[in-house]
Amino acid sequence: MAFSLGRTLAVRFALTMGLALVAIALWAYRGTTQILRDQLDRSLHSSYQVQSAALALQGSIVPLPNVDEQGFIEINRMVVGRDVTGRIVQANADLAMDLALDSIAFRRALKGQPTTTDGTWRGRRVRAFYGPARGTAGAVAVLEVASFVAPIQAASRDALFRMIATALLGALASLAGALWLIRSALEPVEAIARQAGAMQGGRTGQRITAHADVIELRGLIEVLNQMLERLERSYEWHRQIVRDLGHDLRTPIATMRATVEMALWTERPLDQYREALASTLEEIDRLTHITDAFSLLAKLESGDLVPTLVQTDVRTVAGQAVDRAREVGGHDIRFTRPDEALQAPVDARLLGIVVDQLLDNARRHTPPGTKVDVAVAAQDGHVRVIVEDEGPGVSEDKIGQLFNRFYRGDPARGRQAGLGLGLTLAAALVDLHGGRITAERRSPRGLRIRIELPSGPPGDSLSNSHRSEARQDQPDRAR
Amino acid sequence: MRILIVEDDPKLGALLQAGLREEEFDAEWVKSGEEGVARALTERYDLLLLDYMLPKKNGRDVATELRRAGRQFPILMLTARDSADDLEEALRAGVSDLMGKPFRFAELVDRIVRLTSPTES
Repeated sequence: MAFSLGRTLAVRFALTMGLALVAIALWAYRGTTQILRDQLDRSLHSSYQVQSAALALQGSIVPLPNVDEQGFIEINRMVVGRDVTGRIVQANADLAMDLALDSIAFRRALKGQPTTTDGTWRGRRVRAFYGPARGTAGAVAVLEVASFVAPIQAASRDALFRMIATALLGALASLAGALWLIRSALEPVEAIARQAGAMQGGRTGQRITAHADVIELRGLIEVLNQMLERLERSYEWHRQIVRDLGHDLRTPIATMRATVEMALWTERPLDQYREALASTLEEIDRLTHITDAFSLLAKLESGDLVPTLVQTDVRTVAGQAVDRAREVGGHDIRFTRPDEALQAPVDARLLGIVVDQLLDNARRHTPPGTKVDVAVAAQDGHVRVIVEDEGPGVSEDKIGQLFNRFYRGDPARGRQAGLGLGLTLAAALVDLHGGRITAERRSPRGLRIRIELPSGPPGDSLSNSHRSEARQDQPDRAR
Repeated sequence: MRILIVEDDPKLGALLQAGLREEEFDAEWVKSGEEGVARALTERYDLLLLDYMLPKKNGRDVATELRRAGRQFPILMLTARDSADDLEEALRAGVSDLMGKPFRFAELVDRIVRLTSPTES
């Protein structure tokens, strides 16, 4: 189910802020109430001291003006003198005579311990201070000063209401602010998504530029643009392959068509028909070779090709490939191998294709009749297969790209039939074996391609970082 | 009528030469652009049958070079490439006509005849 991230974040943030503000308000309310209570207690104590002094000096409590009950409540100060039994013997107003006695506080005051306590007056809550009366002012033993707590309760309630209201308003403000912030934060993402959505299939060079100057988004945009570049290269490569497939299939098809058409053109001797059929068969083999290479590369690309690694004598695999190349003819193919077996964990069929591709590459790019040397050897825990030709080699700036999957061939090497994927395919298959393939220019002319395969058990392979390399280790005098 | 075939594919080249000879053309065949230019500059031909994809010097380069050298004979290009850019490039290079691979041999002969007829030239 789809939901709005912005709205969810804003609501969560506002709820968090609201709860925090309510907690702060409650904490502040408790603090305010306590402060007001402490102030009232200090005020009662001050009144007690004044009235106590007055009692000592003049023998009576300072009276209040004659007021009604409402006036009495507003003045909010009751002072009574109690005798040793707790009976009120003096009061600052007649209304104060109804002040209830707290016997515990009273007894403590009698013992000389001033005590503040909660009491009642005509059902109203009061705060009362009990203290011993100084001197011998008649029968007054304890002086009690009391105040209604209703005003401070009202003040506290008012403060609490304001604080809660502030918390709620704060939560609403947080919600609005969070929505605004999140919208501001998400707007670039939406802009990037809009720009990505507007990109058209098949067009190259399209990149995300929206908000690329925002430091926080720069990394994301770089990653997206790198991904676009990779996709674009992959797309270009596949488009090129499809185009080249079409191109490379046309020549053998053209040959077959012309062969058959000319055979049917006029009455011919039987051997010419046989020749035409043999030629057509060769072209069918050529087409099969192209489609096989294409299919194999597609499997490699999709990761569907899993090699069956079995300890195999690489001499045999390379020797069979040499035999196949010799059958085709046209070149002087020489094969050098040691007497002892060269065992390595390989997929014989796939390694055979690798050597076929290297020989095919050498034959296609070198003049007929020239030498192609194939050698197999063991060295440093590896089995090596080396194919050397006497062709024009590869130009200096192209040798580093020989095995690149995007490399389409060096014009100096001429036409690359069979999709021009031979070396790309060979490199991918060597990688699949955990091996390494390198290319170097020969002096004075020619190309040397070297394969190194681990001769240990499967998995004990070379580091990936050193696979599929090309280098030039000799001065170029030929080109 | 002398025709020079420039085609690097050995089977197709041989086939074209044999087929055109059967049609009583005086067909010669070379396998590279360099050879094609050299031969066309030193000898007289009535038509050049030129493949596009040739190693090193491709068909377009060959056509350009011959036109620059003042050779006016018709050039019929055989090509497996069919993108608009490629065709436009070839025509700009001075190619008289193009035939896509695969082609009908009878149509190839018709084109050669048409390109070498007096009205075309």
